[in-house]
Amino acid sequence: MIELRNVQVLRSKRAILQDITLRIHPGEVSVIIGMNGAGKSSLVRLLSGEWKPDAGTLLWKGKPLSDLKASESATFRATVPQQSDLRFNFTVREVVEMGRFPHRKTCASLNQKRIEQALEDVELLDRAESIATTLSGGEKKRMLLARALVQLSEARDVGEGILLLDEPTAHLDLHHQEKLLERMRSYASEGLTVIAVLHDLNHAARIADQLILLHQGYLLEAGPVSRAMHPERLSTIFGVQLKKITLPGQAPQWITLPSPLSNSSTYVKPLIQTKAPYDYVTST
Amino acid sequence: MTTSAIHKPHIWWILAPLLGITILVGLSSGAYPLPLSRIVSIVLESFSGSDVNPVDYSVLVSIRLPRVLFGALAGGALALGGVCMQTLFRNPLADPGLMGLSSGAALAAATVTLLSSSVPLLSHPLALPLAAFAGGLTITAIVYRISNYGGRLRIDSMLLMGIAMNALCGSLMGLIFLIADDAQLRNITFWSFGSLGRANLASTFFFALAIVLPVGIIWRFREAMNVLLMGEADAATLGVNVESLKRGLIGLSCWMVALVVAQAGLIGFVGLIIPHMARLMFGVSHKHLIPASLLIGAIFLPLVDTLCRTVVIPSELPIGMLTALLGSPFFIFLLVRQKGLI
Amino acid sequence: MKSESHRLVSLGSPVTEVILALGASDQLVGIDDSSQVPDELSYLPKVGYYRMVSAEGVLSVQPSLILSTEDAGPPPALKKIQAASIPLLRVTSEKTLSGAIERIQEISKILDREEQAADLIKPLQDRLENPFKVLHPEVKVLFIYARGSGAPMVSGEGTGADEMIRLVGAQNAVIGFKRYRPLTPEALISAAPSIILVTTHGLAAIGGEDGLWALPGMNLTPAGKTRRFVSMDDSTLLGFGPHTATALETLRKKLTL
Repeated sequence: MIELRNVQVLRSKRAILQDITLRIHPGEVSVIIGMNGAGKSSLVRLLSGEWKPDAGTLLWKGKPLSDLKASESATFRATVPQQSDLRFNFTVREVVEMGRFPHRKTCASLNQKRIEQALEDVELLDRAESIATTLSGGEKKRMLLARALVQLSEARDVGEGILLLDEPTAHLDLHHQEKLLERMRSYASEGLTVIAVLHDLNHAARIADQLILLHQGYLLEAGPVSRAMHPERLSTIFGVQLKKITLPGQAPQWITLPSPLSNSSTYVKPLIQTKAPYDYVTST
Repeated sequence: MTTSAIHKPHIWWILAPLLGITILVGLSSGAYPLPLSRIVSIVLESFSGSDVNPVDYSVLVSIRLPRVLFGALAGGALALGGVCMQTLFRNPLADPGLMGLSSGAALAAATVTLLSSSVPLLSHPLALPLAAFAGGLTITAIVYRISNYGGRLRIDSMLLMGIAMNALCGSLMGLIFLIADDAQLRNITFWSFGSLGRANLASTFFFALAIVLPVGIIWRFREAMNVLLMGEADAATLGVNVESLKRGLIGLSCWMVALVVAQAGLIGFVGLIIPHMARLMFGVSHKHLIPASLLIGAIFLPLVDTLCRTVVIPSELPIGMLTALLGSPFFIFLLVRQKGLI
Repeated sequence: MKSESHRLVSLGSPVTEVILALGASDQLVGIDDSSQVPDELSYLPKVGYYRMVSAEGVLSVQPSLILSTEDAGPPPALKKIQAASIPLLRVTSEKTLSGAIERIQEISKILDREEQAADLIKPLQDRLENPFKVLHPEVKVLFIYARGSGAPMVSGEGTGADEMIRLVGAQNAVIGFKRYRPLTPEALISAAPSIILVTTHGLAAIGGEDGLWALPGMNLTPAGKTRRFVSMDDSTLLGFGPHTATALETLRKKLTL
């Protein structure tokens, strides 16, 4: 389990994450939502180990995450970044192979097996020998997902691991978006801790076991969808009118109504006191 | 789409014989008449204990052999230095000169040349190489220190600092040029243009010893270097100790290049051209890039040096001039091609 | 050394000049870039600039003896030549009459031409023992040395030009420093030379006579006002060798016109 206690992250003396107290459980999908600039990516960077808390503690299984060396934590924690800045002509296979770096002592044939498996999972096996820079945006995303999967192979074998995804559905066509959401659920059911930043509220509503709502660096909500997705608050935060619609036999859908509210950047005071960790009941 | 490389497994099959040919060509070419047949007979004569013409022997052992051997080692070292810089800056146009190493070494050498008439200690044959070595590394160290803050080494800051240092050293060189007399000026210029002829067997041996460990360490970094090319943030999530790797790459590559500069003067563009050729032929993965660059560099430099020694017999061209002549159009071609791709 | 014929490589124009003057040019098999030889000897291979020769290049002409100035180089190349068991004689490159005499003596000894040397040494020895009387009233001469690019330089103490000026009985207009310094207008005016001394190449490099008198500050000097200058060939003026006695006489005459 990942636990954050009163975590603060400062950049140029500004707090971009304030007083975050949160628990993220394995075997669940936790979705981070919020406006741009709310601190979503910052929270991901914190959880991925790129940033360290300037105040507060970040614990993994009860021990501070910063105690672990990068090479150790990389064996069970993988991040699928928003974009990749690759400037050299690696093949797709070579990029995915980089996910084996924390496990490079493993024998080559096993590595290759894992890589092939991952490429199959993301439906990129036929592009394995293509140059990575020639892939479309969506294909690159899937390649990075495959890289994360091979990084987590050993962890998945024992039903553990942390998978972080920063806007994974961006650039994906609808077919692959659906597949990705399915996969995220299945990885969670294997026991992985899946944490994703999603901008599509419907996607978030569908797959989140825990919804993490950030606004201007504060944690406004952390809980099951039924409780956390409050139409009025979300409307205020996102500056659009949201309405929840329930179609017969379907999960509730959120739709955006055409008239945006005039004040989309109103400062919203935290409505929940997040000083003490709390428990919640998972929705069905 | 096409694969990124051809002949991946064949690096050794192709390059090792080429290196052998290069060495033989280098040993048998030059102003003095000493063809391969004569070389073979010298080797046989010295093993059988019979008398060898001392001049022939001397040309072979004291002049050609160290030149070709040192050329191969230096070519490989310069090429590998280029690979490290290009990985560090994540840019195929990077070169150890970016960090100010060449201009720092040149400045130190020029200063020694200027002062050697008034300070007898500086006329010692080791004074100039030591100064060049120290000068190159000092400037690099300054660039490094200023770019290392907040617990991280800022690569973009290093680039700017390198430009600033190059400019600073350049202006100080200008000052020296103003004060220097004709003879000193020519000495400085000739040193700058580089020559493999300053090496002897002993210094070649020491050079080889001094680069074995750095090459080995860089080889061990090969997988991490691949990962670093995805970006520092990505590399960190994949478990690479990014700061340690960056430090290692800078330190080791600048050490090797400074050693070459100390012994042979400024030989540019090798670190730029060779890794590029290696990538084109054998792919971008460091597992192939490192040995390929080492070998291609080891072939390239002695071949160019052979040209230098044979086109204006009995004089010789400075090798730095020829690598610049070959390298600058190639650099422009790379730039234009890169823009076209983007 | 026995009187035998050598295969000579000469490094440095002072050395080459002496070899030619001693009548040993038939023994030359190679010279450095800066050495000047008459047209009949233009076939001689050039082994590079004397400070940066190629070891193999020198050895390729199969020399049996190398004669060079003491500042020939580079040291590693010379070491390799010596490692090939080729004897190397280095002579002083001092730009003085006694330096020239020493060069002639050492080279003639090793070439076994001491008789011919005596004829060359005598005028130099005479001039050394009977120097020109110092000119009265004093003649301040400024030697301007121009390179292709860059500012013109003036020569202070310890230069060949300074020595020539002194030997000819004149005064160096600039004193108090060693070797060369860039020429500044203020330095030029305060030096107040009455005659400018240049080499033919140097004069051409600053744009001929017009360029010379156009130098900033020149028109405020006695030399500039009277437009008095002396131009001599580079090696005649600054190469201290067998010809120097004659060169000094020529220079003396030109200064006292």
